[in-house]
Amino acid sequence: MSRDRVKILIIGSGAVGNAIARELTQYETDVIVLEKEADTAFGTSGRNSAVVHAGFNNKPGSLMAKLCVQGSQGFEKEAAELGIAFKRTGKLVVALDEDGKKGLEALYEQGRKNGTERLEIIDEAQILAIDSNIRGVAALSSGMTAIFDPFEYTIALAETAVANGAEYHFGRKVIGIQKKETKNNMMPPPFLVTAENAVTGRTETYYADIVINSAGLYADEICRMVGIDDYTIYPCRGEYHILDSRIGEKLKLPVYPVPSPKSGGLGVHLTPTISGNLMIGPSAEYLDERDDYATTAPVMDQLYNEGKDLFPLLTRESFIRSFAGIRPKLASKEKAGYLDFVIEESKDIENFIMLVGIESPGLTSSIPIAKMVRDIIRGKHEIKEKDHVLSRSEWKEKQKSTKAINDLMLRHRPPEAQKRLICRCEYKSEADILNAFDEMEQIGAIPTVKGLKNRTRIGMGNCQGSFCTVDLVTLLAEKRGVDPLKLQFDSPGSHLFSGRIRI
Amino acid sequence: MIIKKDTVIIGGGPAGMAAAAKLAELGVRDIVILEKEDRLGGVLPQCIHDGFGVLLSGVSYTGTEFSEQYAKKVREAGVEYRLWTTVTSIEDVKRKEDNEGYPIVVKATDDSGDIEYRARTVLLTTGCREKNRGSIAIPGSRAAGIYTAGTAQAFINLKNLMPGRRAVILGSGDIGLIVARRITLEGGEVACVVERDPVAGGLQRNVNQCLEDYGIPLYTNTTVTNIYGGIRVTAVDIAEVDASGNTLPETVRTMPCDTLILSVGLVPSDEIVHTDNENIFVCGNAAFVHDLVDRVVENAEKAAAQIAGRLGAQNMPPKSEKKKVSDDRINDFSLTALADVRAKNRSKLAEKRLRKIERAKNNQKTITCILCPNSCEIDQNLEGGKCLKGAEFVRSEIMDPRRILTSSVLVKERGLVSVRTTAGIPKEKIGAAMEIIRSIVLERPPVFGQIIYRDFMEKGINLITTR
Repeated sequence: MSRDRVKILIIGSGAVGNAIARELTQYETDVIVLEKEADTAFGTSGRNSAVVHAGFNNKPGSLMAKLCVQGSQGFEKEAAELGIAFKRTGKLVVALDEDGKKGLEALYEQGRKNGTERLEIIDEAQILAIDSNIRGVAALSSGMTAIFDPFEYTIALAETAVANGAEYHFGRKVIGIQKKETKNNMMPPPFLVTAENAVTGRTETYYADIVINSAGLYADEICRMVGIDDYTIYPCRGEYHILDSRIGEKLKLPVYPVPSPKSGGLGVHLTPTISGNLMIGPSAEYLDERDDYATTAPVMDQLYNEGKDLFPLLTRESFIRSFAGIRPKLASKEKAGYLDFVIEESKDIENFIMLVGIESPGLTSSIPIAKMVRDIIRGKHEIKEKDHVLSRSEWKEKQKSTKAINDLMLRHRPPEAQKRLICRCEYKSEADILNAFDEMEQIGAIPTVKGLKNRTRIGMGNCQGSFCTVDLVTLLAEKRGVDPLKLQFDSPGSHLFSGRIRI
Repeated sequence: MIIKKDTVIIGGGPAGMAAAAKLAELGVRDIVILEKEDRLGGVLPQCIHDGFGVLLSGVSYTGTEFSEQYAKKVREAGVEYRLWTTVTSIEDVKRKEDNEGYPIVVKATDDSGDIEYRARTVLLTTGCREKNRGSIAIPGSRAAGIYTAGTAQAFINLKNLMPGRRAVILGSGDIGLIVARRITLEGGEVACVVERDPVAGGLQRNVNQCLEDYGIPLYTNTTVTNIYGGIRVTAVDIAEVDASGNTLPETVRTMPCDTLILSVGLVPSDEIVHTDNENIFVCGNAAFVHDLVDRVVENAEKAAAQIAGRLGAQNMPPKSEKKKVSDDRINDFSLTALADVRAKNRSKLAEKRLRKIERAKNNQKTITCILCPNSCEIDQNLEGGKCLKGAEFVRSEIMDPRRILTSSVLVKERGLVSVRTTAGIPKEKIGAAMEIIRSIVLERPPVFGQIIYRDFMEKGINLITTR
């Protein structure tokens, strides 16, 4: 397949890529997003603590500090605009002993320098007054810290981008980027981007004036495709346990230990999720491979032990799942700690914009990062603001009415009428599942079980899918014509069944 | 709309059906069963194997047949039941003075929307759910191809879908053992069943007729320590565990497989209750997990009697003459007594397990009688059976071993219907029998109990439908 030239091509559909696509579609330009996975938020954006950080953990003067504080302050408004759940729970960084207290002072100072609002050091009695289930001698209380659902957020960004004209191509892994010489010297030559289509196995080509590399864990590889070899991503895995909603109710706000400067992360912490579960994690373990999402026995034990120090109610019986995410770090194991985000146009390759090392607090910073990218582009390209931009909710209404007309013509019952519950842990109905299926298709995602989970939480509850998977497969076959033998769990090849027992 | 009921029964599985039939018999008729599936039966419709009802009736029914018997009782008693109806909450009526004798609010949702019941009493018969990977924290890849045994069983028996070609089964609970046989009969391969404990979790008769009959190895004191595969499972590591539960690294073996099936235990599914109202009762597997449906039914009937008493029913039961199938001596099924009931059951299970381990240690040359769940060990002198059938069984097990075969046949454009042989067929003919079963395609859906192959493998034995 050969495509017409587009103005802007974004590589990677994580929170950052989607936020950029959403930002740029507010202007008169055309945007394509290429993503190697079947759906959005399958990488680091969907595998983290689901916390909107307040910005006191980052070095004063860094982009990380500046963008995180901006992101944190603006999140309430953005969440409302995107129509997603968001809760300013606050957060405690807890010192377990006198030494830890010094660490709290340092964090407090750093936060003040960064402009983090609502920071306060509190004593043991105040900790207990906030949440009697937490143990600690003193704590830094951060009133700005919030929790949200990173799947919902990342998907909402993509939907808003699509609503305003972005085109998403999923299952496309970029394998090469060339700068094409054009005869016309009026314009810088466009990029020729080659991608492998995971579904057809064919190679596809795209022409773009501007390429934005927001490839997360693979950002360094994408840079190397245009000859930039200044960066190496050091994948650093963090494992988590998810706990039963019955224990989830017992913790009101995220609780972190005082971070150790040598570690690649913020330390093992406990976070209530917006959907009422509880997470413990993450560990920090440097890896050789960037897509090894396995969990490991020693870390699973470590998480339990460290979590128990902060939250004595923790029991192994309440574990319902474990998972891992991978931080795309620029700081190697030897260097340790954090190196700042790289957000800039390449000095050597014109119109190649790089976002490298976007690890924590990347999710919080994603919208300010997008605005920074917009400013880089607007600094040298004339792009006009659109007169009218669709909000996600307006777009959804529009989609619904188109769908309703289709249903009417095909004599389908509208999905809203199908209230039978499929998922009894999370109370999700047929309508919820079918709507989520349609939403996947609306942004161009390849329908997968994981995509449905991320959108509806089906299979994420206490039964972990042992009740609902059968109904889910049946529903998709009956109402959407999905052949169970072709249904994938997440990536192409992750089929659920090996065949029929009788044919 | 608010509907008032004497008893709202939540869940139409064996416990719910048996309790409803009993309540009706005792004169409590203003009741309703709320069932989330589109049929009564709970998990039984996916249990196409036999072994149900032996203690209650002396006959070994398939799960589907057993379910049909109780569904029939419910229908004949005229008990109301609502299908495709999921209960979303159980709460106390907020203000006491508003309850008018109906103190519990049960909220549910069906295909058309929300429904609200006010109940004098509620019986929770929500059964149990399977423990999963998360709850036992198995490390390794998150690839596709990991199923709980019950889910695998449902896909195979109800949906005509095979989870994989080569499976390792972790845990030797009864469902895992049954699924091991089912996969093998259907042309799949079970590399092994591994069990962390020194003895199998399921009944000995299932170890015999599901694993030993098919040469599937059972490794005790062994567990799965890692899962491989980026996209779909490609292998698992298994390793031995010592007496204190530590895995022994020097014993790790990698077993290639595309599927990992978990049969690591069941837990009561009681999340729905958010009150401790004394008029809420719990029975069956929602109270604690029973090994046999016969015991669930007995337990449910006793619970029904207690509820009838609470409601002041007229036809109270006479002291039962019936042979008891359980020795649990539970008299109080109310939610407030549940913690106690569970504690007692836990200690009973622990004792039972120790006895089983002890027995395994003094292992003599015996044959396990598989005719009923008692799983008696019969020795060379044909002794050790609780009844006379044991000796008879051993004689035939040596001279002419036979098995009832259960499987499914295809109905054109409709999917599967479950079948069984009406009597045991010679063990060595099972392979040939499966060949025939695989080749059968029915043109139209058969009725329940219909003969679809007369003189199957042997004169006088038929292949009949069980659904």
